[in-house]
Amino acid sequence: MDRDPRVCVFGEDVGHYGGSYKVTKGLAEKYGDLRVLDTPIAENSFTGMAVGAAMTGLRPIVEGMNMGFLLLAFNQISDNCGMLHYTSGGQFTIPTVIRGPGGVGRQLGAEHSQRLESYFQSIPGIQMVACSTPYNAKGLMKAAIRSENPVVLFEHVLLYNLKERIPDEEYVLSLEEAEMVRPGEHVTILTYSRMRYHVMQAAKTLVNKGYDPEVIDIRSLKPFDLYTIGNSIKKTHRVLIVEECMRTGGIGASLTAAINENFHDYLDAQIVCLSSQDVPTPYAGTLEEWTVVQPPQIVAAVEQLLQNPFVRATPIKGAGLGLGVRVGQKVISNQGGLGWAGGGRGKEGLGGLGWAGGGRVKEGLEKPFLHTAGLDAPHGVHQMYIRPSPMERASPGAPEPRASPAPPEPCLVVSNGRAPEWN
Amino acid sequence: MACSATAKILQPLSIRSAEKSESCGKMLSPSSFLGSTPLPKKLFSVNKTISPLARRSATIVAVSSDVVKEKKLKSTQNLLITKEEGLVLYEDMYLGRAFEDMCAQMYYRGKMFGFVHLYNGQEAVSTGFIKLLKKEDCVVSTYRDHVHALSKGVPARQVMSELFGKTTGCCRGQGGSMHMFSKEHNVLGGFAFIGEGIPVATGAAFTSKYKREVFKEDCDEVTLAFFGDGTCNNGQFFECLNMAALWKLPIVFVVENNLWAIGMSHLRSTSDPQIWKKGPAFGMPGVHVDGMDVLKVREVAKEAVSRARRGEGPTLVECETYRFRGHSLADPDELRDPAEKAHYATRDPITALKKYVIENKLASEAELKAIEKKIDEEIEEAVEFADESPVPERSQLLENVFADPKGFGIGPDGKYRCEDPKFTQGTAQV
Repeated sequence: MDRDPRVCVFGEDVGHYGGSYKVTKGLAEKYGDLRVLDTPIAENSFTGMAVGAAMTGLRPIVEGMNMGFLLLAFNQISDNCGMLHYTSGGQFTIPTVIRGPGGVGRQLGAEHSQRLESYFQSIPGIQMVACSTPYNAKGLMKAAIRSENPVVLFEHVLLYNLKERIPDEEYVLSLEEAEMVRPGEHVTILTYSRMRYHVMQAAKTLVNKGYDPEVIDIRSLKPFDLYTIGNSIKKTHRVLIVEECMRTGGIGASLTAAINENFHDYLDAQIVCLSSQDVPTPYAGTLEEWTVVQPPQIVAAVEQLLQNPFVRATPIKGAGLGLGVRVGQKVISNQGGLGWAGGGRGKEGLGGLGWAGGGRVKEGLEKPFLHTAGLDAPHGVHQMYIRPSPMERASPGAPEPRASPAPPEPCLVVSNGRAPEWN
Repeated sequence: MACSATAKILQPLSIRSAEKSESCGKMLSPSSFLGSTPLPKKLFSVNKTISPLARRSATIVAVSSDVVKEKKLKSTQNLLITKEEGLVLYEDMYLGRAFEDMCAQMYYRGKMFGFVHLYNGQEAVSTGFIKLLKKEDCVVSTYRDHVHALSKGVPARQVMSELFGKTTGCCRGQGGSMHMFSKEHNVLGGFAFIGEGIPVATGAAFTSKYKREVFKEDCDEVTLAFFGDGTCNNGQFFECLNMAALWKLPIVFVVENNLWAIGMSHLRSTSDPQIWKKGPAFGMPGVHVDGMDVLKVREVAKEAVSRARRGEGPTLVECETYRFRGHSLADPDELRDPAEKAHYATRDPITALKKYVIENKLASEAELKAIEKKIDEEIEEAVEFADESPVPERSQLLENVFADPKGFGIGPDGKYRCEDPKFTQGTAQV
């Protein structure tokens, strides 16, 4: 606000009150009541006002007191923020920043615990970023203010108390890049906002158990930084997405689709997506805890992913002869269970074939964290079926699985190099 | 019809003279106005509970402003407009009418598609207000925005080619009938959802105030927000009235009350159909004016705009007007009473101004005919221009989605997608 007098803030209680989470504390005293404007409770209208002000030369920042309130401003965000640059043929820019605290807090109830990133992600013309640390919050905020595009910046209610040493000199982060939090070799964990901390907590446990997860904070929710993500997948071949969004239509769903489209060949296992349950966030503390992904679930998911890679099953003709199958290609059979395409890396000439093994998971073996989209009934695909560990084979008649190699080597290799017999 | 402008400014506080507060109570009676011919009483059927012709619960046709009344009493020779002004007004209204008629023709010939909303009959409002503005003042409209754009100065050829969907249109063919924008002439749109534009107008007025108070510039730019009677039941309308009055923003809210929101009569959808009354509820003057008479509208507009320029805050002006055509070119327009339509046809603003100009010897019939001819040629030329303009190419699809095309993100190869020269041939996947 110092650097550019056109920057102003609109929001409820941003001025005298300093913001519901004190983000704008002290600014009204310094810059005046007009630059830090306390608005009446009219989200749609003051967001529209921000659009009008942006069109005529200002650079407003709109604060939703809680991100959920911005649902009332959806009309203006979608139609005007997102689309006006296009429908005006490029004549008007809308350099607004729309920000606010969102996410599941501590027993705030359903309506104050909303995650709007899934609703906004389809709007053409806006960018979405989620900050997770003081360092990237400052950098992303500066970048968002300086950007000519409308940017929605998602903050999290529980992260305002974080303390971190940040550089004194000015720095601006890129709005489109993801952040490598912890490099690793075994699995790529993609996350953002508060779930980063759950993931890091789980990572500690995983490291103690001998795993080496690579953690990436995607930061840019729209567009995805496919370069950082892609490089990671090319290295680890396994992806776990941990997010706080709901499962249906969330950021994880879009990310899964994007990764499948772009990096399908590099995947040794299906993408696992851990999201919040598709329920309105309950008030009760215990229920609320179960709504959101917790570190033990992340640990279990990683273990599952690394010990038992699984793929979907349909038949392949001629697969037994190794024809037309290249190393690393997925093998699918319809034995009702899962196999793998093993030996991807550097094991040329093995045909890379797997066998169809396993089957449906037995009752009681289903881990609670694997959501079937919040429903009890199967979703219709086998993605939720876990190939049982060698000790717990569910379907007799499948060929004797080779004992899984001990972690951390996640690649199952047929050691004798012989293609199996197919039924 | 004597075209003196009459409009009463209803103030919540008696800012003007003491006699005003007393006359506030009287203003409901038809005898206290000067001006247009009152509607014959027989058209107001008091027996029917809801009659399309019964505009209001009281028979107000126009209300009078003391200021103008005083002026008039001084000298009856004082006309409201000079010859030049008269010709400008006539030209502008005729341009609006001819353009809209040509739009209808082009639509039925298959040159333009989609939703086209024509402004026939309401020209007095657009001309009356917008011809008072400077270039830096902003206008915000709704989907019925062709004539607002034309009055503000956007060339007819640009509007026509926008309607045809060509690249030479004011929005490069990307906006269409309902999204007329012009940065040069400060037309801030063109909005498809009703009520969407009012906050944008409020924001533009906010910028004007910001420039004055934060940048310390000498800025007296005013914003006009045009919208209809249906919008006056929408939340954004009330929220913006509140904010504009609260911060004394330089904005004028112009309600083009043409009584119909597609097929919904204003009287069937509004608990209190007198929209001008809603202004004082928020602390701003509410004015009702005969929107079929450009001179009356102009007088009211002068006051409202100069109020805003002086920094005294917003005004709500309700213009009683009528659209001669249906809501859009797709509307069969079956619900409106033909008698109502015939009545308003007799109050055609262009004919009225023509009569005034000729009767008061401001210009001759020949001069007006010359203007009409000139406009007709301009419209023909606009259609030719639009016809010959190129259609947008495939590469235009992804342009202008983001002001900063880095917003399309980083592709799997590490480069920004927009850096790829072939990007605009591809798809906008992120």
